[in-house]
Amino acid sequence: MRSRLALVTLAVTTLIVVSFVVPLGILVRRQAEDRALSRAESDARSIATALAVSSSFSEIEINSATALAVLGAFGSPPSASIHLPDGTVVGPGTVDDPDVEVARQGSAFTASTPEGAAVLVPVVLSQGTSVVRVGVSDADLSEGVASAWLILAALAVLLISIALAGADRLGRSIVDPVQDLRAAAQSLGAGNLGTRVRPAGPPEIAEVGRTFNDLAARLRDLLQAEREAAADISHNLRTPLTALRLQVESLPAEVRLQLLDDIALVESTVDRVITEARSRGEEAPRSADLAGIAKERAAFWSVLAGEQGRSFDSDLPDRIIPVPVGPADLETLLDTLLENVFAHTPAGAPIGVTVDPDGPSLRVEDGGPGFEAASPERGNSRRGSTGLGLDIVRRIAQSAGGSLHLGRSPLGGALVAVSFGSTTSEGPPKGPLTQPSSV
Amino acid sequence: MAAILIIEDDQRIRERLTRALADRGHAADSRHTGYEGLSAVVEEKPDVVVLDLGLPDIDGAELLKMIRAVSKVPIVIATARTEESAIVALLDAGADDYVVKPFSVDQLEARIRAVLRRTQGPAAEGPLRVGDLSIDMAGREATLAGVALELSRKEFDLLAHLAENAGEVVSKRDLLAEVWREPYGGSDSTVDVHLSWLRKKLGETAAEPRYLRTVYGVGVKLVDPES
Repeated sequence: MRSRLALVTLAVTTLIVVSFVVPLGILVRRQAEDRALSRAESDARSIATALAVSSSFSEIEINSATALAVLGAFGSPPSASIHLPDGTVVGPGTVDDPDVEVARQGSAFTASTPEGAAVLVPVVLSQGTSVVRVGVSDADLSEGVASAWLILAALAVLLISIALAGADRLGRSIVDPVQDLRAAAQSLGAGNLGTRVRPAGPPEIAEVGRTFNDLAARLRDLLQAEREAAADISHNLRTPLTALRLQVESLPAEVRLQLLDDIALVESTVDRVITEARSRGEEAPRSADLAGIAKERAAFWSVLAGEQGRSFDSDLPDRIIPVPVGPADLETLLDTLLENVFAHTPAGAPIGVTVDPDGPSLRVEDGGPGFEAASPERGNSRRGSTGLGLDIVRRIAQSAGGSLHLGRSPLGGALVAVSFGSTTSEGPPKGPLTQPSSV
Repeated sequence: MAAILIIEDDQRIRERLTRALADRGHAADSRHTGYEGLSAVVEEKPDVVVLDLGLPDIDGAELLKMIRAVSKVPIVIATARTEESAIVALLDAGADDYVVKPFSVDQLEARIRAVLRRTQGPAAEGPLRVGDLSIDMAGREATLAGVALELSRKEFDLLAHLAENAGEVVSKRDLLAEVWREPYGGSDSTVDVHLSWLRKKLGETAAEPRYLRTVYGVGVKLVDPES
């Protein structure tokens, strides 16, 4: 937008400047010509007057010596010549100059010549008509024009530059607030509900900024209300669940155990609803160091691995690998995956944790039986297990613009690969998310 | 046997709890409003109060402060909320313990026993001791042979619970219910990894245990290695 404004300004300003500068340049040249010709005419008339006066006072015929003396009295101008009635030329003129013959007829005029111009003035003497000719070279006709034109061009460039700078400043005052709005909208879209803009720019754009802030606030309020409503409903469910549980406890053992199992399933679902409702819309930090937190959690679980005779290999970069997930969610993700390994693989089975900075991505693998041969709780939602663990991991990965993939590890067991989106200001990657494997 | 006052507005819960606790030999009584409960605390002087937070006439948290102003009776809160901030606020306001809904009678009774032990038993007079291990419940500090142990919050809670039941095998499910407050959720691995850290900080290993003894297939117990 800024470049378009600058282009329009350049075109308009150039048009205006050219329409003024070109006539001005022509005028300057004409003035220079008039000035040179006026000077030549003045010289020619002065010499002619002096020649006529010399002829009337001496009452002798004007000859070459007299004409030379007259020219000498005027400093012998190099472009001035006197053409005597007998054809003699005193000065740089030529004998058969047709302009001189025209002037001898009695009219003074300015003639164009190959060198530039010449002013011819006739002088009527006793022995005939002489002609005073003063030549004007092209250099004299255009004296001072080049420098005047340079000044005019510089002035034109300066004016255009000032106009461009002003247009750019004006463009920025429009474009910058629009760009702020774009970044804020992307941030809001990425889930940062606390994003606001400082209304700026022209009144219309400032108004858009204020409307955006109102919209973001309204969105946060709505999500907050929905979150609280979901949490309240879930909390309220706990009281009848308590009554139900206490009632079930008094039943015979054969039906009690099954019903208690069902109540436990309902309760874990209620827990999930509360947890998810609480986490939705929270303005928690949306970035964490994958390598740092993976190191911390690997160190935490490695103690148990040591006790169970498992090898625990971790390949974690020594630099910060930012991922668009809050630190608490990232800890939950890693703990869930590692807990899953300990829960579903026998003691002694090796464990591997790898963070790949490209992507970035996380791999947690083991030497256990793998997903195919593992217990039904691992990786699938079945009765008796909500499959909550990997479901939570998948949800966290997707909220970070990534995905979850399950497979077989070179260690022989299960492999869980979690990819993350980047943490650039552009927010999570655009386009549809990759569908993860069934969890 | 303990005299238990239940302040709970839900009639079904009130009746079933009263009956179940009476069946277990306790003198259980109940009130369905906050002001009736406060009056009963003053007049009947129960051994322990089970207080529900959602009462029809007054907020349970406010009633907790009012009871605490007139009595030192141990109070177990029955709450539907699990947020740490809410729990900490209740404990700071004077509650002795809490159970999260939906709870079982066994779980509630265990809480009642625990608070009675802490407030009336010998443990109330000083820290719990198991061999060279000393656990100050009030100050949340633990020492081994006089050297302070640097324990996380969960590690301390785990050690404290095992110390309260020293010599008895405690199942991982019980630990999840009592320490993690997840009677029907959680994973044994969570307990295992915290036990590993606890062993490390106590200077022992699973292969060469001293205080923490695993009873395979049953649970874990805290013992005096010298006994």
